[in-house]
Amino acid sequence: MLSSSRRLSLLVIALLLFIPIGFLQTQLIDPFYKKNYAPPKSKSGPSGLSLAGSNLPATFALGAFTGFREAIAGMLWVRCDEFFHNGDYDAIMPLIRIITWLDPHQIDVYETGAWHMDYNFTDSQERSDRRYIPLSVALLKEGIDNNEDQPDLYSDMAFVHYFRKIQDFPQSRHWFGKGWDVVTAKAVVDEKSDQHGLKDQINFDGADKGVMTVGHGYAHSLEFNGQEQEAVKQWQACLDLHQKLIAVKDGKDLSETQNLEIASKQLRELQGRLKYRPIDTKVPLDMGFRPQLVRVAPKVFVLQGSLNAIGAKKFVLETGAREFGPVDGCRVEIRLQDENYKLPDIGVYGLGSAVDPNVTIMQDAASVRAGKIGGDQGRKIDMSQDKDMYSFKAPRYTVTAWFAPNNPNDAPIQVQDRIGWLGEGLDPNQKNFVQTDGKSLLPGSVSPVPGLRMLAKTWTLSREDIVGAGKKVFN
Amino acid sequence: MNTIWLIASGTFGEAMRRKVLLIFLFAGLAIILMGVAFAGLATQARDLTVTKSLGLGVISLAGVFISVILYITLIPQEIERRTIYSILSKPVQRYQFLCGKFLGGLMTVLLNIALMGMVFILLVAAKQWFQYGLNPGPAVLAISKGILMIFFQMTLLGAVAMFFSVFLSPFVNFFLTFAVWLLGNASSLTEALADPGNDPTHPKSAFVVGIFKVLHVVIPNFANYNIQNPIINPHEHITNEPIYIAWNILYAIVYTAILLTVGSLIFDKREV
Repeated sequence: MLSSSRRLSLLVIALLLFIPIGFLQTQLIDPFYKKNYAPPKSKSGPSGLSLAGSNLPATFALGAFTGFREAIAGMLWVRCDEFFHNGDYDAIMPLIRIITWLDPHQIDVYETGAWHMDYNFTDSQERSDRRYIPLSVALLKEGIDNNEDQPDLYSDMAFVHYFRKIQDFPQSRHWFGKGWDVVTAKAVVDEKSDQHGLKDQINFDGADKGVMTVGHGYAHSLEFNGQEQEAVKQWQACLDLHQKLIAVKDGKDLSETQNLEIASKQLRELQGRLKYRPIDTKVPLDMGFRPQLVRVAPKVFVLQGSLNAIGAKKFVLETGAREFGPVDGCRVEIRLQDENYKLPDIGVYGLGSAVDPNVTIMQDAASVRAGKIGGDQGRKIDMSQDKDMYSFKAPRYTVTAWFAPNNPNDAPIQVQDRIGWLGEGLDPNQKNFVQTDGKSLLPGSVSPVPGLRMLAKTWTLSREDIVGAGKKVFN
Repeated sequence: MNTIWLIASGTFGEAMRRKVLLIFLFAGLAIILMGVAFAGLATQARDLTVTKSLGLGVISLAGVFISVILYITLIPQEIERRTIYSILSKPVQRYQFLCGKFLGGLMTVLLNIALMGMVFILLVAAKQWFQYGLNPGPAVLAISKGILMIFFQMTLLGAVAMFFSVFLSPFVNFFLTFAVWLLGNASSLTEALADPGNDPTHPKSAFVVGIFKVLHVVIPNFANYNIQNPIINPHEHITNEPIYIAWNILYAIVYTAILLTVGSLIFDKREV
């Protein structure tokens, strides 16, 4: 048995040991744990505490606290896939919230989740449900917040989301630019290391893929914003990094050589266009844009009319030999939305995030063949089959049909050769011509492109105009 | 020290013969092996994610059961069988007895976790190499770090269970130790509650904040040892991770020393 004084001194020592324990815990371990391991208290997402207090099922919380976070996330993601194939989209949304909270570093959940929201929740004619776009933006932003050094998510936000889906080229450029900063930061120059016999040795650490996906995309997005000189510089930067990568990999990676060839071809072509387009866009072109909207049945429309595209039928960049004439391949975009609709910024992708069932948005595109929008029959837009997606609760609607020269989907490269990157070659006196003057005239809250000249026609329709019976023509 | 070692080796031999611990060991090994069944998941990344997470989770959970079941019974069993009298009648101090028992239990836990860990590492390495043609080296290294952290988490948990076992019945101890383990795993919650915040519209009581601050330090923090996320997502790179691991090993050692010291003091006063 220990003496009382010895017992007391041992007790005091034991209690005093809580001082180093407290210091270790609060000053050293907690900050490190929060930064690297804890569930995210993100800038755009909920904190672990608030989520735990907001309907997170107890089983998931328990799993999260006992070391099974990622296993549960993995299994839920498999379940999500089943829900998607069953068309049970509403079930997917909260699951994605829980999965990304449990495992905030599973990049493919953000990528695939946002891709589903952007493209795969569709109506019966396979037009995507644009009401999911604010959710998709919030999810991708949270993914980027939680994985700031992963180029893949920037390229997804920039290309899959803003470039392909929304066609918001300024936003696309913004996210490509941020991604490019990550790629170049990863390509660390380490002059001390010389194992490949190079002066500049680089540790790419995953940046190699980013040079292609982010670097090339960034160059294209600069071009589509009318920043051709910046695009040239970006292609040169890509070439530089490709060459360094080839050297680092000792030329063993053939795909890297192919990427270099692609970048170099793109740069050559851009430089060629810079030489000839200022000449070819001098003569103003009237494209005869006359869209017509015809209601053929309640909630069923046909987009038709004319767009006479002139483009390079033959163009040899090396010699400058070129020949212009009528070409196919243009597209006219159309969007119907509630009057005064603005893309909401939901900020946080939460457990209860869902689309607004009272909002109606439809966006489609019609290809132009032989100068006819939608070909001989026009483009049929049937909104009568999908009542959940097209509720038509608003009293008035805005319908816009447009042709944007800077959009490669609307104006293919041979057409841009005649009208320029920003529509410099369009005749300003033609009907439906729009000088944007730095303001965005495109629906869907698309950011403005300074200097863009485009063709657009807007109709304001009442609910009766849409749901009414019989044929009605809107010119 | 020789006395402690003698008690530890005797405890280890006895613990390894206990079938109830072997059940947890074999159940853990079986579930780890079942990880192969997840080969059919959608993608390679998903398959490896679930396999690694499940494996580490199972090792951790099996480790928890082995530690708790073992440590809650080590002292009470000796008292119940009255074997403690023959030991304490020899020139053995009670703290030596307690430390010897703890060390013996720790050797048992180490062996069990090491066995499960080796099987799991072999499984993941084989999966990476044969199924996906990936170099298993980085994954093996990362998983080894995870298993090391699980072992020190179990060291701390064992110390908690042993501390309670000197004055509580095994039944009460079982639930209390589990409660402490769950609470210690939810340390991000206690930490958040201990944060005074900066929202003037929702001021927090200084008293409540103070209580949670104390709780956050006093409750052994088991969540520190859950470092699976970057192990499972290999693109995540943690700078200075070895230093973090070293801090946590030190934390486990110091906290265990506190619990064993206070436990020895209580045990010293106890009538047996």
